Amino acid sequence: MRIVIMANNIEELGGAQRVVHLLAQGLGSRGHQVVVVGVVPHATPHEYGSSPVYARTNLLDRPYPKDAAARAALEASVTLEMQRILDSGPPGIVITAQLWAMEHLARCRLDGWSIIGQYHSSFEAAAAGRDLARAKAVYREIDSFALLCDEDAASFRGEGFNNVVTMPNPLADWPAEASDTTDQLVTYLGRFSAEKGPRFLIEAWRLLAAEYPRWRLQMVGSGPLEQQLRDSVAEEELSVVFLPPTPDPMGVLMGTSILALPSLTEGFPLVLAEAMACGVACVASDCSSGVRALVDDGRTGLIARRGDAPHLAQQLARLMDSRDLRRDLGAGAREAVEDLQLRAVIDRWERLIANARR
Amino acid sequence: MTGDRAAIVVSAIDVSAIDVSAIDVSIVLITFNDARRLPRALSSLTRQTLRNLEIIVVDDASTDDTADVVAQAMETDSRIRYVRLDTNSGGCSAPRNRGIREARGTWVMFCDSDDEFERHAAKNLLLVTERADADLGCGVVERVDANSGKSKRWRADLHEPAVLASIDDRPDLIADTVSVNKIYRRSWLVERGIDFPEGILYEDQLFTLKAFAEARRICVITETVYFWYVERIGSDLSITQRRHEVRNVRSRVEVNRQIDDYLGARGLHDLARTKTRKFLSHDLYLYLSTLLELDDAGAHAVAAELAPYVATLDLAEASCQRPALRVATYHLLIGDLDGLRRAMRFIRWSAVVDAPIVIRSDAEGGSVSVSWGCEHLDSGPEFQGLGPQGWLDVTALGLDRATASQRRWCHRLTSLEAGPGGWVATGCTVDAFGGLGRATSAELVLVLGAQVLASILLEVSRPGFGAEWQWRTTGSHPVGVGTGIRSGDRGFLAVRLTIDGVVNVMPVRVPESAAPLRILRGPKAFVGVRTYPGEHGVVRWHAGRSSTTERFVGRLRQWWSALGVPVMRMLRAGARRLGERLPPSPSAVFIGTGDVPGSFSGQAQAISVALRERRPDIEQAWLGATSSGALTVRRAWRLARARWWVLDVPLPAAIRPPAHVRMLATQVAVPIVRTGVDDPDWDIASAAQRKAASALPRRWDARHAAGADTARAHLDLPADRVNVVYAPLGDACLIGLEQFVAELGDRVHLAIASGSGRAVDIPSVLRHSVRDVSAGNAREFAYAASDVLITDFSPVMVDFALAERPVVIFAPHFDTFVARTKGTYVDLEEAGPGPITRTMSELIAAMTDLLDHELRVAEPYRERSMRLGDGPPTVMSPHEFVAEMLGEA
Repeated sequence: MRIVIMANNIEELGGAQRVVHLLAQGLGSRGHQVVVVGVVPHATPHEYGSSPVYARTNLLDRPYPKDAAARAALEASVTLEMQRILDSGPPGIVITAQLWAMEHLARCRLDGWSIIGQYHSSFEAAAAGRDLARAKAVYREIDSFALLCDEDAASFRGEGFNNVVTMPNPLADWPAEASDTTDQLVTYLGRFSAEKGPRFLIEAWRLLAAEYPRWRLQMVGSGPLEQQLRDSVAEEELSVVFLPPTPDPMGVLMGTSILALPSLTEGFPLVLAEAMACGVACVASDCSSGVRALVDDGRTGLIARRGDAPHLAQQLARLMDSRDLRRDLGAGAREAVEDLQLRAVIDRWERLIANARR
Repeated sequence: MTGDRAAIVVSAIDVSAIDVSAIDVSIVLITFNDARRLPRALSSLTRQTLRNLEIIVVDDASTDDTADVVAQAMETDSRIRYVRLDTNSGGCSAPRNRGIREARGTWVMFCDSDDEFERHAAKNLLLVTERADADLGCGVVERVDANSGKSKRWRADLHEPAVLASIDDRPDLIADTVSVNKIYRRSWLVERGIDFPEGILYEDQLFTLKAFAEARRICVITETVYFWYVERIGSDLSITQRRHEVRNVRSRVEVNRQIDDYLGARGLHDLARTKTRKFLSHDLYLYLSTLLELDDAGAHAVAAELAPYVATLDLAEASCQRPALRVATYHLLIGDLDGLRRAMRFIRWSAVVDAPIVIRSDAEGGSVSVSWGCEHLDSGPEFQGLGPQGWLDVTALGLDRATASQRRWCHRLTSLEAGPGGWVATGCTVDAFGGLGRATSAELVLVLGAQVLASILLEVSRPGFGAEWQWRTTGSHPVGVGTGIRSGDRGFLAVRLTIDGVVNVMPVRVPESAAPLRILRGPKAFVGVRTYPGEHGVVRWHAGRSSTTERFVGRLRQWWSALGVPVMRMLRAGARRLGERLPPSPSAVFIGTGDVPGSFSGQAQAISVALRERRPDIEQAWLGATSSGALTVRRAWRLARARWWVLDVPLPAAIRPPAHVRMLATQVAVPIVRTGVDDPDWDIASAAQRKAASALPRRWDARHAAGADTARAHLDLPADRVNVVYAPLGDACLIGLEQFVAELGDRVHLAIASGSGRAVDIPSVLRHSVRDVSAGNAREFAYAASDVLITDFSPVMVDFALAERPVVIFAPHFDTFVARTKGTYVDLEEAGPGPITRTMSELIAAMTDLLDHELRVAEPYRERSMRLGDGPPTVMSPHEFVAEMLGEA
């Protein structure tokens, strides 16, 4: 079947793009004729996958101009270009990864095509901004509207979306064995920005450091708060190591025994799912439906109150105190994300596509 | 819902590839002479996201353009087939049965020509029933008002998603009696011989009941699947139209008989019991409701249809009926139409009592039972072993508990006619609660909002157990026109009774069908009187203008309302700028939720008194905490000129304080909930809020202007029960009032003061034990009068805590609120003034505990001090507060 996967841009290094290329590769290797379409190019394109079994193209060869008139003129040609791609073969399925991509697609003639739309943030985030209204305009009539977890799907259903399904993001890799969780190492993996809450983790560590002299905290990433974080750590000589962003997160996670996710806002955090796949015990803040879908407190990880450093410290201490608890939660976590293996998720996609075509 | 379809058109007409043997769903669309609306229904089917379907249009021998309309649609969509019956069947059954025979799909669905399928209906039902290997699936019907386009999901409570092994898993689902919101496995319908009964109305009821009873596995989904267009929601029907009710009731009784026969023959006794309960508590209510609107002949005919059928039912199930409906059922069985209507007035007219209630006490004088008074109470017949005392017991309604001002008298208007020299209104009131004879005055009043605009003494005569009254107006000044009524005003008619010094105001009512518009004309205006459907029979009036001057004034008002907003904004801004430039005058502004001193907290009032004593020269002004939109020029000016602002509520974000203003907050204005000012991660606070928070959050004496006894008498609160005030931060009443009253009503009276001051709607049947006190100074009186406070995060808890009066925190969303939403300044779990409850059962347990221990505040809470802001709390007297404010300390 012809499958067109459409995203705002397909070249930036980011979560949504990673998922788009994984999905394209997965569906392509099952014999579908897949083309990945980005609306705009990115200044510094990232190379996804070494031997893709699908085609890639951008609708525009440069970003949209700021000027409204020039923009409107360009929009028409973007629509034509998208129409040309659609009309170059028999109709099949279009998957739109984001709202903006769907808004572009909505201008095309879609006779015979089935459409599946995705939204990668939580309902809470959508309702707080304009996304909910935008989604109501373009996503209520399409064949299926795919959300990342059941809680979000139910919330959108409550808003009158009668076409919602749950479709989690897949994991790129599945480690053959779990981490042995013996290293006395706690890891943070993500951007150093306010909404990811790294300062709460440093604050929590300040409460723990004296009691756990043999444990270390590694902060992997970069971002606007980096210097501030480094300064506060240096002041008190805490056992914290800073490392640059890694191309191999699974590798880093395999050597760690606890992952801390102190975010204030999240969608469906991939790093949490990856850590769980490695059998690493996780402490995550109760910040999104995605986190709640992954972490069942006390069974597949621990939940800390959002933005509450003492509570985060308390939950970390529980794990640092007991290797047995780390191992149990790690095992529970690995089992919980088995369904997120690429093969299983692509199976789900094929079923969803078959139903959309009926 | 249906109006704002997005502009995406996905059509899939490429049907050449569809294998006839593998059609998923056949949709049977029945129609009769409805060529006008048929295209809408058809297009909702061709636009389904499920493409693999066939559409069978079954035409019940239409004589209009139906055939052409269908033929046209068939040209663009080959999935449509057309079947025409030779002769008109006059119903829905024959066409639907024909459709089932014609169908080739694995599944069958039904649609009517005047309705619509939801876009994803067929696919949603297909996927879920297929996956569960069920015989039957059902979703939600949305009723759409064809005139207004407004829609409402019908009985969505029944449609919690589930896969049921059989109907026994959720017998209540049989109340979903429509056939069009369901998907049926075709082979199963045929094998079990389930079809629509021909020749009767309400064929859906029998069909769906058989389907539910026969199905092995039933899927329920919560999505809307069907839009049911209703030409007229409500009961705005003329008497001639209501005559059809008699025929309808006959048909409904007939269907119910057939259902009972079927259930009996199949030995489905549990289902039969559920169905009887549904009939007695739901269907019977609907049929008896019509009796208030029908004339005597029609009402007798309806009763004559119903009574013999009801007598055949197992009346032990009548225990599930609400008390007033049980009383009505008893009068139906006896054949007492007048008594039946009195009971139905309680149900239809918002819990007014149109019969004398009889309270029987035990030897010690405690109340043991309350009965609905009527001539049958002591001598009426038994039905199926239950005597009149049982049928007429209404203790559960709490009628004896209402205080004098809250008694729901039934004032019935019986005629409104032109009399000599004016108009004469005649009505009657049953002495339901006793004491009508002691009334020192009875007046008919014109009420506008909470105001009484005009009143006329009633001439009362008293035959039998009630009072009959008359109301006369004179020709020159009818209805008090000229006494403050302005054209355009509208309100309701009420009777104001004064009995034993307590005033009671209750609306005057008539059946909807009985009161055509009356116009009472005066020299300059007229007052029209009528009732509107759905308003519990309340008689409304509205004043119109009749002179050209009035029309001219009206025109001017219209212009002003269009022009006024921008002009006002300019004037306000001007007043503010000018006021801020001039040197400030020595004046103080009190900012609270009301506009009058009485509606401010006791703290604000005490400060005001102390300030006046110390500095009589300082001008004081009282301002409601208005949003910027409602800020008048005068207010803007006062705010700009004042040197001190005394906040009695957290400062509204829309009001910006000028630089020279000194702001002070009473304890009540100190928020419990975080405002965001001191949190670097949540930059949501306005500059004004920052400044308000930096004003001193000092703690000081809680004292009230009114004493508890005065306040209690003022509000007419019961003296023999514990008075509880519920003050949620927001508008919504989260307490389940029915459960609260059922469990605590005989020990507790609840007053509700919503956070915004907007009134909370209290169900009439609970008003003997629950009162709204949100507006005006009632709130402050309720705080003074109450023994216990229930709240989520209202700052009033500080007042109660300091006065060592018990506080119960009730917040179902407590954990999410504290952890994820906003959070509080005080850790209520560690240092709160009382126990935290999250569910109704926890709340009731906490309240019961308090009641059982004479409202003693538990030790840990007594010892706790509520830390607010930095440093230890300061207790200040009003005079100290004023000294601090004036900088004299």
